[in-house]
Amino acid sequence: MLNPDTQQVFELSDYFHQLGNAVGEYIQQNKNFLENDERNYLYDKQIELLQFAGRINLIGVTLVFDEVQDALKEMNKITADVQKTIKKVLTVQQAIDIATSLVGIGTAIISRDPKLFAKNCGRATSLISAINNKKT
Amino acid sequence: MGERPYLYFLLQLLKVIIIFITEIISKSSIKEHMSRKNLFILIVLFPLLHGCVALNEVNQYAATSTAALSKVNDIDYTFSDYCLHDCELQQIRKGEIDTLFKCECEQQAGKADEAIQKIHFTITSYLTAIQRLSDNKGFTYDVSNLTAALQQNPLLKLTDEQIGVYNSAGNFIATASSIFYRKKKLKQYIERADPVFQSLTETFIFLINNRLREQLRIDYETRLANISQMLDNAKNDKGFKQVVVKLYLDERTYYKKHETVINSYVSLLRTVQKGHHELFLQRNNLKDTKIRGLIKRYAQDAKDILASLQK
Repeated sequence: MLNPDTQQVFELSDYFHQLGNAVGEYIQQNKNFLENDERNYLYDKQIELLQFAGRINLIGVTLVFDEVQDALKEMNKITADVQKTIKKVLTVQQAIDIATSLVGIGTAIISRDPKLFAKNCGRATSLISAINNKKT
Repeated sequence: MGERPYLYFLLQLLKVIIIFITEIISKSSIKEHMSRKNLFILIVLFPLLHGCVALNEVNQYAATSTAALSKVNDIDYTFSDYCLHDCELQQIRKGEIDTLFKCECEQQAGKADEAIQKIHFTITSYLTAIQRLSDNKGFTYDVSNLTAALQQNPLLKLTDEQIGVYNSAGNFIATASSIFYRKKKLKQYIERADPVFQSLTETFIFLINNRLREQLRIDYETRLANISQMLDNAKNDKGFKQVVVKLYLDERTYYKKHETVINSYVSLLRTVQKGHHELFLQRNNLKDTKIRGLIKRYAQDAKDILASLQK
């Protein structure tokens, strides 16, 4: 719903438009009874009225834009939240990679392989740090 | 797990690992193992599949709506165009060449066009994000490294055949978990966005259908009044009259062409607006075949109008 003030600006524009059209209709209906000067004067007035209508309409549109600022902000906030969720869901592959490292750690412990243990510990730590860094 | 999807997926994967280990320890044959595996997978997947939503339909709706909205440029008429035409007419009516004549269209007309662009951009960005979140292609996972790590474990002694099965099952579980989570979040976002979406699209429709159309009509009628005045003043100059009539025909073609595109674009916007509201109303029944059909129909309607615009 438009603000009543903005609504009135558009009504004013429509009013000038209708007035311009009324003058135009008058010219067409009375063309044969009008002197050249009278006819040209009325054409000038018709064009001026239509130009007023156009300029007032432009003012109204800019007022509408001021009115929807809050809605635009709210919509942008929702969009940002959707984008955050997309990022979060994309971390699933990282979770799988962490699980891979954890299994590697288990294998290293069973087979008493310190090299493999260190390698997988390092991998798991860097993957978890990467997720934490993205969050901040 | 609400805000930490990866922990939930990790939990699901650990469940599967435990199942695999139990299977191997019980030293069952591959055949028995396969049938038990299916049972285990069903148990693990039940809570995931239970909430599965028609993501494809939401994705199709969002993709078509984004494409539909991008057709705003096809209108090829802006508030700045009006301002420039108006400025041009003022110069013509002066009847003399004035090199210092200035057209100041940046302030009012430029701001009016900015309003259209910003509302359009905001709605499109939201739909693009929804399209991405509902797109299954963007969320497939690879557990082959994980199963390879399991195979290296000396206690498990997994065969290549078993590894192949676990690979497919793992990929499937991870993807299904993501579907469940995305469906839940999409439902929340559609619920939250619908009132704002309806209000913004309504304003956008009003600006295009009512105010931009009005601006185009005023533009046309002002030029028409000028042409009529020229024609009336031409008296018996037949050659000049013909030039003026040609001017009129060109103006009429310009007006009708742009008005037709505005009509089609407004129909597209209405379809996009109704489609989102339908998604919102049916957010809890999105599995229903009838509802899926309804959402598909909105996407199809938008596609049809889009096709008519491209003709």
